[in-house]
Amino acid sequence: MEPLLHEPTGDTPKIKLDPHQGHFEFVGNSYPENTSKLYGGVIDWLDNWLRTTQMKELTVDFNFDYFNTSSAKYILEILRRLRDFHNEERKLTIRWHYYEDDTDMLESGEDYMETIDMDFELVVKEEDDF
Amino acid sequence: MDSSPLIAVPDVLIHYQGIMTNEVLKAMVRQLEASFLAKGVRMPRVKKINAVLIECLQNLIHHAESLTPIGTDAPEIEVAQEDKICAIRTRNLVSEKRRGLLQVKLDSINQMDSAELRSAYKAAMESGEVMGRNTAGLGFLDVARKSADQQIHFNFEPTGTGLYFFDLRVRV
Repeated sequence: MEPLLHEPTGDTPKIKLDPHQGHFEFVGNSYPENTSKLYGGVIDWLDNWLRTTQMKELTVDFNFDYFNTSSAKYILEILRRLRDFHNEERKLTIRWHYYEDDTDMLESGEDYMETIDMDFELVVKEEDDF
Repeated sequence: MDSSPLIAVPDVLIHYQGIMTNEVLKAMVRQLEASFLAKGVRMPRVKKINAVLIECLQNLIHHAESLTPIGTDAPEIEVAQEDKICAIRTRNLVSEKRRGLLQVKLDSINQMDSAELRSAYKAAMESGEVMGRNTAGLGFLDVARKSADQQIHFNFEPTGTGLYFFDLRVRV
């Protein structure tokens, strides 16, 4: 299956879903005008991938600087699909990145963890990274 | 726009009235971010202010009645700052029906403490009823969570035409 790649814009994140590298990532801002157009494609891609994947190990980085509430709904849908990947034979690691004193982003990660009932690695990023 | 001050002697950073689009939104976010960073404001705080600004602006883009998109009835936004408080104010026309919905929603939100807001936000996100553009309820919960006093200040001013000016003010 071909990777899904979306280059970042001011209001959309970099999205890279590469099944060949066992690594997915979302990086940057997410407040697109048409959220369903951006994330609908991601969800369709994940649904197709889940039906056919033979992958045994996957790491997903959620490295958002900011996402709006419309994006938040889709991020939950993405996480629910990733949770479906995880079972006794397949390992999933989700890394949730946040600035040390960005309690909003930290709480978002904690809320998602609780909602999908999965532990994330909570990763502090340096402000210099920005 | 209601002239009652949210903060004393505000430093107005942005004032805009007119057609509201995502391009306008992006320009404002870039300008505000550059302005705050130049003043030495730390990135997490800039992100919090921008988060509230974006939710408020996308509310205007998606929900403002557009019967008169230009002139004094057009959607309006103002961002002002004094010391550590940033005040965001929007004004737009809404229908009688939407006025009623907003009144109920915002009265409910303003009675919640921070833990209740977090819980209500999670419940709304999980409910599945807010996919797509109809996310104003989730957006208001997020704005209240990020505000300095967990409050969304608002009022409605009748225009005499069946529409109301919806004036929203948030302190971040």
